[in-house]
Amino acid sequence: MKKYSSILFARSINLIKQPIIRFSVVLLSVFFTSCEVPTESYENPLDEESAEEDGIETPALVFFPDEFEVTAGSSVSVQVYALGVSGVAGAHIQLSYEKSLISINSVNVGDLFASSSEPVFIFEDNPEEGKLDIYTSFLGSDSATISGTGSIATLVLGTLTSGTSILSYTSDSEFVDENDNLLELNGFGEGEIVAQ
Amino acid sequence: MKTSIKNNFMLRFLVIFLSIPLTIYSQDSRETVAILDFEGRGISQLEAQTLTDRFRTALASAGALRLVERQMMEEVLQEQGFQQTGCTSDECAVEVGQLLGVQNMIGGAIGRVGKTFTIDMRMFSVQTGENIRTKNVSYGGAVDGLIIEIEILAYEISGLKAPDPLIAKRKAGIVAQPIVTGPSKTRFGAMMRSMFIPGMGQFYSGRKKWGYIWLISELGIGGGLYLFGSQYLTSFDAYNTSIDQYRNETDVDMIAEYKAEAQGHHSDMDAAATQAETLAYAAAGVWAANVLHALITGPKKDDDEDTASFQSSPFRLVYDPSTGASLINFSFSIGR
Repeated sequence: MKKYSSILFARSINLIKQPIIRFSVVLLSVFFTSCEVPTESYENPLDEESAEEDGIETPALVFFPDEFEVTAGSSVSVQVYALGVSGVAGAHIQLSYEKSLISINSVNVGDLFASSSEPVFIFEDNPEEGKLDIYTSFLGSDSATISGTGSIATLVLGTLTSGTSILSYTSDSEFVDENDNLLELNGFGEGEIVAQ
Repeated sequence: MKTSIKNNFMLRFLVIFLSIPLTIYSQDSRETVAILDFEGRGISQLEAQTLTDRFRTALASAGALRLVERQMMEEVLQEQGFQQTGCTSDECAVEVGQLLGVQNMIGGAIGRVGKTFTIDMRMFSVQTGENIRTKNVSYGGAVDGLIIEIEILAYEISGLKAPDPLIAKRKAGIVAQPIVTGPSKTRFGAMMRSMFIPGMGQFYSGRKKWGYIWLISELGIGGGLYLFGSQYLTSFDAYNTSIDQYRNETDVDMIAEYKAEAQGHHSDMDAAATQAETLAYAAAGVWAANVLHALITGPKKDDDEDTASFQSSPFRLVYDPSTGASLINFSFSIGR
């Protein structure tokens, strides 16, 4: 709250064109509110440096965004992201969620596989267990693979009631190359949905 | 022989040198006039004589009439067995004038009725006894104020217009009394003023130089504070914008770009904040020193505090004889 009021204040001052008023307001603000410098905080789950600082080493699976604050009953859109992968031809992703708090409304193919060619994209929701399985791969023998960072799937989740729900990847999640060999997966990010 | 020639030369020189003013005097075409002491009615004879003397001086300054000196006049009158103070009738005045060999005589009376003074004056011909010029003035105020009126009358009876400074003096008021000047200056007053505006207490205390030093110092620091404060706020705003873009971006390259931008703005913000903080401390230090200085040095003490207070007060209660009204006069110096 304090942060937003500070931003609003800074932007309001920039709107003051009258030099004397601006001068007075700036001086008074400097006198009465010391120049607070916010701690540097770079939190983007797709930033590899930032992910490393959080203990997630690439290649990894992360959620984007990884934090939500919503009202209970509303839905959110979250993307399943592959971070810093290389030579991926197929994937099985299993994620778990709080079944009493979250429901899976829809699952759509992301742009990582879709950008290369027509992929196979299958998902299976198991609400009793609170698990969602996504299978995706390239068809054919053209040995198409993807590398880098990109979205594998886009989920639309509904919040059933108020509470905090954690989205996480299970250890069954895996990436394979064009020869169906397992690729190393070093990190799994988490997502948090706070419904109020 | 040489000495005798030299003495002779000196004597000639002296004769010639001294004869110049006499020659000029003898060629003076101005009318001669003698002044009889004014009769005092309601004021003391001493006051009347003093005012006559002032009138005489003013008349001589006006320069329109050739005045017989008082001493010379008294010597002549004494020789003839006259008492000037007793000479109040027209006949006596004419007789005195004839004895003095002047063309005109000036006589008059100064009276007081309640708080009002009256001055009646006339100049008449010794030869014919006719009035040449008469003047009368009513004046309300302290007796000191009569001096200006007397001086003005000296010009007017000479047929001249009184000089502007004298008229202005009359308009400004003769007797000036300070009115509500407020409480006398105190150290506490100086301190309180400096607390609100640096240097103001020093100005109040009469230490203008120090006042300017404190004020300019604080303004200078304030200017620096404004610059760094502005820079801080600008960087703060830019940092938050970059952070928002960074957090919402999904493109890896753009994420790196926004992150670098945010780091740059954060660095600028940090530097500006440090500078502003240093200057804020400096401003606070200067402010505290200025307040302390105002308290310690306090207002300047003049030798004569009452006089100083009187002179420094821009407000005066004055009496305007021309309208007979009391006025509040406001004046201030615009430089020497």
